[in-house]
Amino acid sequence: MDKTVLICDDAIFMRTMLGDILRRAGFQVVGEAATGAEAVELYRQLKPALVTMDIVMPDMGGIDAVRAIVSEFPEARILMCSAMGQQALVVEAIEAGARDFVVKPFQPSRVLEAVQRVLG
Amino acid sequence: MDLSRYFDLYLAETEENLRALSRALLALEAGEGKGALEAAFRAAHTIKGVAAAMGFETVAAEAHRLEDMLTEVRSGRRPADPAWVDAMLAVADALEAAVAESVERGPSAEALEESEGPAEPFDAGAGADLEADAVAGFAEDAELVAAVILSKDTPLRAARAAVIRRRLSELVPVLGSWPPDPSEHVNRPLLVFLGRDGDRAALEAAVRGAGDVERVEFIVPMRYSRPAGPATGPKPKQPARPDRDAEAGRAHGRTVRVDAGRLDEISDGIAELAVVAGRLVAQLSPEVPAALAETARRIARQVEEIQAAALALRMVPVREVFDRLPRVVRDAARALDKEVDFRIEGQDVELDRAILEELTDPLVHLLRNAVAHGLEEPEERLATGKPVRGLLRLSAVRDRSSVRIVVEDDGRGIDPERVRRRARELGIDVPPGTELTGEALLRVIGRPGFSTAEKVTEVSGRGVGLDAVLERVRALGGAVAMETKPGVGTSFQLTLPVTLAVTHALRVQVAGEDYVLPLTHVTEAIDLRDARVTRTEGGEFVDVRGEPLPLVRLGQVLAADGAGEESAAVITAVGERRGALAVDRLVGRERILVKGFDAAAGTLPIFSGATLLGDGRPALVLDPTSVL
Repeated sequence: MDKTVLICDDAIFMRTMLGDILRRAGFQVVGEAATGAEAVELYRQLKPALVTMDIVMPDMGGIDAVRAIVSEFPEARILMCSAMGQQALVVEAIEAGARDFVVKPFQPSRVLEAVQRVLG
Repeated sequence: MDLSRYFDLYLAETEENLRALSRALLALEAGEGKGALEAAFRAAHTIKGVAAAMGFETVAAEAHRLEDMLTEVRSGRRPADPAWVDAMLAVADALEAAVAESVERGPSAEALEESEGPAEPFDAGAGADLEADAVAGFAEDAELVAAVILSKDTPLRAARAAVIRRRLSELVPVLGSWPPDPSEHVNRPLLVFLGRDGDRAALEAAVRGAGDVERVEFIVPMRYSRPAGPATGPKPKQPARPDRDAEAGRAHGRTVRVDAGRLDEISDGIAELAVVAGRLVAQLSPEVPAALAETARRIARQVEEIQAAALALRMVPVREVFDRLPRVVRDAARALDKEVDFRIEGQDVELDRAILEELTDPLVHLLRNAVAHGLEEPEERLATGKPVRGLLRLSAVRDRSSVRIVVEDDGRGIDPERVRRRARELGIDVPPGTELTGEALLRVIGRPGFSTAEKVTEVSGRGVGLDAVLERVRALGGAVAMETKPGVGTSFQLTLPVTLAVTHALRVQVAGEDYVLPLTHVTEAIDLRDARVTRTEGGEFVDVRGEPLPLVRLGQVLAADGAGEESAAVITAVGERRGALAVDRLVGRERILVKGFDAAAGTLPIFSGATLLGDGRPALVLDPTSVL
């Protein structure tokens, strides 16, 4: 099973933490993006099995990145990462084509459950 | 958009929420704090959302006003003191009036008007309301509804709902979901409206795969419509049996809401059918072929079973009316500066909805009366060594085929001397020797226009009332008894038949005519031929196991010619009053359907209705209260 993942978040701290959780579960982090535009570009290059996407990022937010990726690659499996107060944005992202979401602060078990669902 | 099919739902849910709101506001005042505040919020919010979806703007606006006032409390800007609760209750009243008006106007009247001009937005809640407005649109076209219970701790429930919608939409068209923001309705199932039915297992797997899903059930929406136009058809005053968990029940297909008027039609129809079936069996003679007779009997049995089921549908817990009464007592107490400890017992006792609906006014009257005249002023209570807070108790108890409702206070009791004086002023004849207690007293104070209150108060009315209470209860086939002890308190006992639909009655014969006596008031029947009857100045008494009971000869009461030999007596009990009604013959027990009737003025007030007997003959129903 392809366990490649692209992590998109403007905060290094978050990318690191998420990367640790995923690596420990046997994922291979093939790329990290700090902006929406980077995320789209890296997806094209890497075609990872999974993308984790922050919502608020500079230079194209997470939602627009989801739209861009999904319009080009409808089979893309994107997991949104959101804060508690961003419910409406998460709804929008899912309607734009994201498959699932996790809420910060990350609990490893919940992250992995969500990943399972997205890949399942 | 045709909203009329949602009208019953709107009404039923809104009335439930109005009651919840009133309960919560009173609890808030009583210091129950956060829980009560949130309950009030939820109720106001739901009323607003549903009303907005129905296009009832006034209702939505009043509910919104109330939400604002609750926000003041939640934010700590105002304490939930009596003054502020008063203000909120006033808005709750306005809200209730707006709901009543929306009922008058009927479904979609406002919704249509609304479509002619731009809707006025309600500032803060506008977004949610617009979404609420949309639900009726997609719910209408749904072929299947997925009811999803999310785990209690699901974060971002609206987002989870979006995931569920998304996953389902890969299988069938998804029209939308409800509530618009599931985060605010944690206890409600999420309803996802699907445009097409599909492989249930696949649909369920899709939902479960979305995560945080505790339970999924699929419901095929029931299509039902009201008779065309708001003007026709019975107006549903009360929701048909709102279970406490009706919300969840509906989502799981266990409960349906039905217009109360339609339920009545059906149960009345079945009751008539039962009487006809009974008649059919009664007419079976030995010449009737056995197979035919057996079929007839089977029909009768079957009808009886259906009838029992239909009867159960008519029953509602007294809670539906009792729930409104704390508010009545509170308002009366506040207006009169009295402190009242109001306790309710037996809320779950069930009663025919038709009877219960008729009881609101009498109970309101008795309670207000108790607060205004029964319970003393705080100073007077202190002076007599009573607790400052007066005790007012309302209870319901099931007793065989009747329900007893008691309104009891620990107030000053009714002073027979004052009643006697007042009676004299009014020219009511009270024989000097009469001891004015219990029923004799009730007979006097139950006269129209009788009131001993020196000052007429806003709360207790103006001498109208007790007679109306007695009349109403009697019209329902019930009886009122009263007990009072000066300085100790007063209690009113209302005994009511459990149901109006069909009554078991005893059929008797007097002077060749048949009459029936409701079994509600019959305790036993005795053979009069070997009973000991004694004659005193106060009348005749018959000895029943050592107890002398007043003997009433029905033949004389009815002034019937050709009264035959009285062979039996029916022992009747109404409250504490007992008596023996002498009749020519006992015919037997019957199931009767009583039709209330308006007796012509001047006729004997001893009948409460008329009925058709098993053999098709009409008979009058005797009212034991008046006979005794």
